[in-house]
Amino acid sequence: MKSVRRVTQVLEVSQAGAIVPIDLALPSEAKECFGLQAIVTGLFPGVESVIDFGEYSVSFNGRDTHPVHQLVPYESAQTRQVSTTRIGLLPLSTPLVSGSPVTGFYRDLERQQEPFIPYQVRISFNLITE
Amino acid sequence: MRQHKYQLIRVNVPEPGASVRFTGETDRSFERLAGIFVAIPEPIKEIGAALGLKVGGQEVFDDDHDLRLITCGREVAPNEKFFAFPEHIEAGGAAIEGRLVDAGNTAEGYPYEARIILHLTQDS
Repeated sequence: MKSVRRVTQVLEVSQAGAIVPIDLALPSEAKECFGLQAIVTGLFPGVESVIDFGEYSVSFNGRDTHPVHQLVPYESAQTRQVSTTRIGLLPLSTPLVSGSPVTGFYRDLERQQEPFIPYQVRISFNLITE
Repeated sequence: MRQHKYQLIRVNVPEPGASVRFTGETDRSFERLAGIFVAIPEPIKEIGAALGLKVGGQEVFDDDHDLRLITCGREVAPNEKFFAFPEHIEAGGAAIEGRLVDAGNTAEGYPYEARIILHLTQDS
């Protein structure tokens, strides 16, 4: 494999049910996105690990390519301690047009109890570069 | 025959929310950085933590890279704990520069030592 760059997009989620836009420019030397991972960053007392804490949708090349509309899980520290797996990448094979935007959204699925605790979602783009 | 080395880097985290820079050098006898694993004393400290890393001046992880992508649960077998780099990363005495950002999730358990383990290989 040629050179790889990993670009992290950080989204701030400030209220229950929020829809947060994704809008970024990947490095111009990026030729292909070969993997994605979205991960919730926060501690939520009373929330067990859930598979549908949020959902996200990502389009590449000015919405010409829409390879991902996927759930974002939440894993509590207790669950993580006994986990027998490691977090992997969601595999993609999406060619990129240089300089074209990446767009989409993240939506909170209201799995927290009151009061709402603001949190971040980190989306990691794994890119093959020239 | 492929030879392997697991090189340990210790990073002391003094207080909640600390941003700690670290430097080092990969073992000169091994040409490739094949994988990485980070061990933190408590899983709760992994949530929200980030690790940026450059090897030989090349960015491997940006500063917002989520630590949980290169850690794993305690029950994962030792030989499966490592994140394997799909790309070729030159080691062989390359400079290591990094930054570990603690999430500050708890007030207890400080200071602590994060252990970064590099999987180096050499084909002979």
